[in-house]
Amino acid sequence: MTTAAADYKKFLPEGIPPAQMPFWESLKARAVQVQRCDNCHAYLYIPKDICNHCHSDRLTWTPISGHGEIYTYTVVRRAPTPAYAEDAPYTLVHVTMDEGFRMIGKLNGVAPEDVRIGAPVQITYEEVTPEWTLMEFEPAAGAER
Amino acid sequence: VIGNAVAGRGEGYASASRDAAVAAMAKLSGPYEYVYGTTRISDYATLAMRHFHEYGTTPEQLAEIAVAQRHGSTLHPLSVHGHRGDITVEDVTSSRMIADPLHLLDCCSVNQGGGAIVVTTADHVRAIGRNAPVALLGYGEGHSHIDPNAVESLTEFPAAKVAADTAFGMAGVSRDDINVAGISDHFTIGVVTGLEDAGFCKKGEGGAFVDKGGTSLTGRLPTNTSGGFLSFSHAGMCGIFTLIELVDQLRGTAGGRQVQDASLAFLGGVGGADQAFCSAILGRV
Repeated sequence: MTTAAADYKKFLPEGIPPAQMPFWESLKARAVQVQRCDNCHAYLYIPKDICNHCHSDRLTWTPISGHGEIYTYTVVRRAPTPAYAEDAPYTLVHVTMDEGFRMIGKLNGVAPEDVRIGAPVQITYEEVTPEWTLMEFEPAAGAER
Repeated sequence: VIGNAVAGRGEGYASASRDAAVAAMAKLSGPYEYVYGTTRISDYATLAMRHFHEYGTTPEQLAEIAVAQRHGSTLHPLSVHGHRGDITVEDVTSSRMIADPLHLLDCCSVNQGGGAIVVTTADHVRAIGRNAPVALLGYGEGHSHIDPNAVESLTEFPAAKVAADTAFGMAGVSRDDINVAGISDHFTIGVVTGLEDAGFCKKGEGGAFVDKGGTSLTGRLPTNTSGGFLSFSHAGMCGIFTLIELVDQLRGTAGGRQVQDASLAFLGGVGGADQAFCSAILGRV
């Protein structure tokens, strides 16, 4: 659902350095890309100048499958601001992606009491303003719930 | 050598805006997290949930920490929550859920206050003659990551082990020598992982360690005896209160909270959401 930026009351990304924008542009294009280290082949969720693992500066924007499984989660019942409180309770997940690194997002389509660590999920995209699209998760298509 | 210490609760502690504090702290995490409505509480809740999953840690075990610390706070005249009286495990597990699996009473509150320590020579402390000198025998720091996705496990923090091992090595004492501890307890789960990572029990056994009053004044390792952040005070750089309480314990001036014959104390501090750690060993000299 797209709303005018002025009507969107939740937090939008702030202070994103230009070098990190390819990630956000890939969300807008609904085809997520993250950095992958040319040296140790690790994938990075949050873009960096150097690899978290081996400190190489040779990082290449790389498409990923968008599939993974829930590593851990919480159900937020006390939200940070009134805009988020309208959605509460909502589920936040840390997901181990098929590529072996973790991403963070909101999980849709599962009742809080039915969320399970290990459950397969996939990325979806939520265009929250004309400028910004966020990444969310939903149960993987065809997965047993 | 720490020669004097005071603790206090600021006049205006109740005037801090809870909602403003919660919103501001939500943005302590970067935009790759806060856009989804994370909070500092949800950060620690995800750690707790994974700990429950891997090791079978239970809400009741976490509650034991809050119960033990509340009791300590009732014995400290300056504590913020001691006046509310003792609580039970059931009080904790039936309190409002904030971010699963953390209940209201698993979380510290936000208040104002301050503390200070005076550092001087042992000889000067002895010359004044008011208090027994307490020395910093060892310290260490560790830092592993910034982004929670960039650390291999959310239940085991190698930087905490580095910080503790460095401090113990410098002090030349072992875990078994420690009589009293102060471990960052913004949330109950922090005590569990703090005890584990500092080596007071094996990874995954922190729940059993704290069970049945393990960290209470008469437990196997009295921890956060003033009430800690949960019940004594969570004001800004509140690690100062942890330090002050350990000094009180080592001086033998902890009143009704006094751990008998306390001569060596361990302090474990955390920064962020388990990203940076510092440790210290304090002792009577």
